[in-house]
Amino acid sequence: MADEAQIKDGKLISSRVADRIQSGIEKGSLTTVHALVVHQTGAATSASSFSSYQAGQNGAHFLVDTDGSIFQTARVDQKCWHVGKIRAKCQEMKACAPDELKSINAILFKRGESYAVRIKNLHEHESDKSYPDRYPTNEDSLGIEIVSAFNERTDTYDAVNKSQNDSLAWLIGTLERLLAIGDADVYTHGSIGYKQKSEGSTANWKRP
Amino acid sequence: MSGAHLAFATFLGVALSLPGCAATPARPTFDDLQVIARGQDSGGEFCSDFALTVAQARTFFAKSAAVDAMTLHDRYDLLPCWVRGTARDARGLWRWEIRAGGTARLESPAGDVTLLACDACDELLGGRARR
Repeated sequence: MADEAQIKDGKLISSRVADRIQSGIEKGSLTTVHALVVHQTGAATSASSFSSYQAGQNGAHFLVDTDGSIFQTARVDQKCWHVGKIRAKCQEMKACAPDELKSINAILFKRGESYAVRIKNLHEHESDKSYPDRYPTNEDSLGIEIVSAFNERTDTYDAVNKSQNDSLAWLIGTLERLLAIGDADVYTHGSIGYKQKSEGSTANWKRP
Repeated sequence: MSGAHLAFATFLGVALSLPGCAATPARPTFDDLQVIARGQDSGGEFCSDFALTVAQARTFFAKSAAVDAMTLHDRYDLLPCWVRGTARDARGLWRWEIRAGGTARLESPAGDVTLLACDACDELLGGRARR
């Protein structure tokens, strides 16, 4: 019998998902989910992530372990801090209206501000836009973490393995179906934020 | 101990155990520190004027602390503009890279890499830093 996953009280109910919800990383009500963001943890084991979650700071809604096990770590009707500052989507897509590009450049090139302040101001500017005119933020997205070590010598994340990609494909397909999210609404963290651009680049959730 | 002193102690390679901090290998003395290049990755036009003097790089390392990859990812932004340089000590040539958002990589002569971050370097790393 097929496992018909469903969401109940913010929990994804399925034999493929283990409930490991960490209330400390839940940061308030999430009323709308527009998108999914795929992350890599930067540590070789899920234990590192759970240890970090217990500190109650950053976290995501799901964690895919190295063997493909899926843990739900926060309810899908709760916000998590997983995105950070976002880039300007229209600028990245080379699709800004002239006035909007002028506004973005005024923020990014503002003299007398540190670069860190400029991207903070850009994030705030972008956050005022409606989705999908901007990238998703903590306010309207779910995060999926894939357990992957970060190799400091090569400055890259370990590649997402087959078991993880199989689980990721199932999880994203299920969330898309249950939350009415489209394929275009799934992002890698490296493509939307000021992080390693390669973060999530080896994740492959698209079934052949 | 103030934050600056704490960072400086770490800079000198004193063994410290702090949450989120990576194991701290010995670091060079930076007596012979040089800036050799600066540049930007894609999307870095806004910070293309990022530059550091030798003295500013030395100050960055004095104020920064070692962090692990997960902490660096969660707490800091990786900006596309960088300054790279070297430092030499009895063990050989060290290579370093400081990014405009206050993060850095330090590679020992043996190829071991320490990730660093600075919480108090905004002024140092601003567009006005170039001399």
